[in-house]
Formats: sequence, C-alpha cells, structure tokens
Amino acid sequence: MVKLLGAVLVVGSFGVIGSVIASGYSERPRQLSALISGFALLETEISYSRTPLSEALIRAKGQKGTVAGRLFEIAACIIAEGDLSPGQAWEAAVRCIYPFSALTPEDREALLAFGSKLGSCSTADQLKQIALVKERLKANETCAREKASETARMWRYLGLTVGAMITLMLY
Amino acid sequence: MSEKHLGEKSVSDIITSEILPYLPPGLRRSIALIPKAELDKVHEIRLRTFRPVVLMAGEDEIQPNPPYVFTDDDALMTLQLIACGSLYAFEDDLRQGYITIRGGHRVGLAGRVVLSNGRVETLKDISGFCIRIAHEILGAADRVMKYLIKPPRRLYHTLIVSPPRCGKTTLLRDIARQASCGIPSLDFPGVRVGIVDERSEIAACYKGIPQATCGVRTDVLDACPKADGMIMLIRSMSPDVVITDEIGREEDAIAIREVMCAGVSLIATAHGGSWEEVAKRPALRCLFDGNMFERAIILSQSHGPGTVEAIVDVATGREIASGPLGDGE
Repeated sequence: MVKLLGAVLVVGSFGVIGSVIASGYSERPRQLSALISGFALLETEISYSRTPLSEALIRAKGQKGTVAGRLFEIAACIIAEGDLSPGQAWEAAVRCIYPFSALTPEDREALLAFGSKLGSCSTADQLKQIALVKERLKANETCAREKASETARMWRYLGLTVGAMITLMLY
Repeated sequence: MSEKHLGEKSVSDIITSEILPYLPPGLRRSIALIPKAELDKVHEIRLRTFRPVVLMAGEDEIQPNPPYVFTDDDALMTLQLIACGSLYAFEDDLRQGYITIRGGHRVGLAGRVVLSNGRVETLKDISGFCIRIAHEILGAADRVMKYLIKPPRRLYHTLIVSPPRCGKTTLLRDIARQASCGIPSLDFPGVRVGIVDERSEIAACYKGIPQATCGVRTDVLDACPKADGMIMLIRSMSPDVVITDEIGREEDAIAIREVMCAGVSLIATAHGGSWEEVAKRPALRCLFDGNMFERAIILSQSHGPGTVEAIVDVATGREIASGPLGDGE
C-alpha cells in the first residue's frame, strides 16, 4: 500500500513538474496577446479621442501586473516626466520589462521599432505604426502558439514518463 | 492693470509654475534667475533658434543674464514638452500655428509650412515660439458692464475691437464671469452663458474643466470651431449669452447672424485698430451692413493693456463712454 502511494506520488510530482515547465511555454503567446490588445486600445485612444500619449498609454494598459500593463505604465511615466523623447521613453520601458518577460529578441525588436516614430508624427502615421506592430506581434504570437502547444505537450508527457520510469526502477 | 486686480497668482508665479515646465532645463534655470519684479511685467516669451531668448514686458525687452541662446535641440525639446510628446494630438493646432498649453497660455509657432492641395497641412522644422502669458484679472470688466446691460436681464450684442495684446480676451473672460454670476450693484441677475473657446484661451479648459473663473452658469465648448460651436451651443445648452473670441471668417459671420436672430445675446472680439477698420474686413461686412451689433468696445494700450478707449452705441454711432478708461476710470 505504501509502495503504491509512493509510486503515485512520484508519478504525480513529475507530472506537475512537466506541467509547470509546459505552462512556461504558453506564457509568451499570452503576453503577446495582451500586448496586441493593449495596442488595439491605444489605437482607439489615438484615433477617436486624440488622447496625449502618456494618458493614452495609461488608459490602454489593461490588466495590472501583465507585461503589457507594465510596459505601457512605465513608458507613460517616463514620457510624463518630460526628460526623454517619447521614442527614448518607449525604448527604456521595453528594455526595462524585457528581462522579466517571456518575450524573445524578435518580439523585442518589433516593440523597439514601434518606438522610433512614437509621438512625432501625424495621427494617420501613428495609426500605421500601431497596425504594423500589431501585425508583427500577431505573426509572432501564431508561431509562439504552435511552438508552445508542441513543446508543452512534450513536457507534460515527459514529466509523466520520467515519473513512471523512476517508479519502475525503484520497484 | 494694477497688480491688485490680478487673481491669486502674480505673473512671476504663473511663469514659474505654468510656463517653465514646458521649457528645456537650461532655459528654466536661466529664466528663474530673473528678478521677480521684472518677471511680473512679462507678457510674452520669445524663443528663436540660435538667437537669444527675449522676454517682452510691454515694449521693453528683458534678457536672462547671461543671455541664453536657444539651440535647435532646445527647440525640439520645447515642442515635445508643449505637445506632451504627442504631436498627433495637436494636428489641428499646428495647422493654425499655435498650441494652447495648460493655463490657457498660447504658444505661437513659426517654422516650415507643409501644404496639401494649396492649404496648410502642418508645420515642420519649428524654430520659433512665442509664449503669451494669460492671466485672469477679476474685475477687468467692471468699467464696461453697465454699458452692456439691456434691462432687465439681457446684454447688448457687443463687439470688442482692439489690436493684439490689448486685453481683449481678459476683458471677454471677465464679462462672461460677471454675466454668469450676476451683478447685484447693477441689479442684473446671472444668466446662462455659453463660451465657444476655439483656442482654449477664454476658459483655459483642462480635460474639459475650465481653469479660469468664468462663472457659475457658464458652459464651455472647448477647442471647438467658432461657427459650429455657436450653433451647437444654441441647440444643446440654450444660453442667454454666447461668447466667442477673435471672429474673422465668413462662416463666423454667418453663425453670428444665426445666434443674434435666435434671440441670444452675442459678445465677441475682433482684431482691429478701430471700428471702421473692422468694418472694412470683407468676411465680416454682412454683420456691419445690417448693423447687427449694438455696442462696440474699443481697446488700446495707451494706458497699458485693457485701456478702454471708447464704448460706442452702434445704431447712433454715438460714444456713450469715451476713454481712456483707466483703472480708476
């Protein structure tokens, strides 16, 4: 009975470890999806009410604690301080959140490219820039989801398999 | 105007708290070193790329000591600060050649004009800034209100005529305040006032809320084109008085006729040295041909900004008050 309980515990533990690693892979598409939603809200703020950038970013930041929320909030604060141009402020914000996110270098490049014209062009151009970054992030998100579903499945199975193997070895 | 009539803030306080945050740090420090007594006289700050910064005090020029040469980087930073890093939010303002900042201060811009189909599309390479310091003077209209009241509770259709920098907007703002709050000494109850504030200078709205004192019964259409705004106000807010600044286009004149014929009093301002000069402006001719206005207030700078040279009964052409009406009248 004790052996059976032990076996269940070992298999279960490795299964959980596999699931935890697998969930890490699905984090990137989630963050990309939140960023895309944030940019969609920013688009509305700019096209409909021409809200100034720092305020528009705060309104578009969405859920607190998400990578998109932090990125928009930090950028808004730096812009409001007025010491850096909006482009520089955006770059600083991207570099600040990047190490703590699941984003990859190509996601970072897409975000940095968006900042180059931030706040210094007409509404139409600004909206084009937003459309462009959304498109790039969407393409990255599609790839990330495909990759995540394959890799995540592999890690879940691997966890259970390793657990089962160790149980057999202990028997 | 003497300082006793100013609102709570002196000009130097306004410059320190409302203007300096929009300037580059080096220039902020330089202007902060100017003595308070001199800053209190300033009404304009002129910034031109690669030339010394000049503060205008009446006809006198004040320069920071040592002189501060405004660089192209300073110009970029100033534009960015004035536009809150969001040029797209000020496209219409750029087309007009100015941006109004918080507090109702107008920043005139000079640079390279970009045309589209022969019309001004925007300004680029901005190299000149003229910051006009707005400050409200409570009581600026004390001397004129009795001539504007049409008993029992109406105001005459009035046009304030003056060259730039003579205090038109300050007078207009105080007329709005007094008309809205009422004037017990003249037995005038407060009436509903609607302000069409195309340049955000009269009420100095920030996020739609007036920062200037313009009365308890006052509604403001902020940043709205005058012609559209006047009609919108009549339909939506049923004002007793409509107030607007710097009329000059044909569509303004048409909207003004609509307002006057709707039984609503209208008070407006126009640039000009005299009544005759304004009457010659082609776009406004229809208002003068039909004698639409009942009162004209002529302002000048002869005894400082806000000097009332004359108040004219337009129908008879008679001066019902002749100036200069100074502080003490």
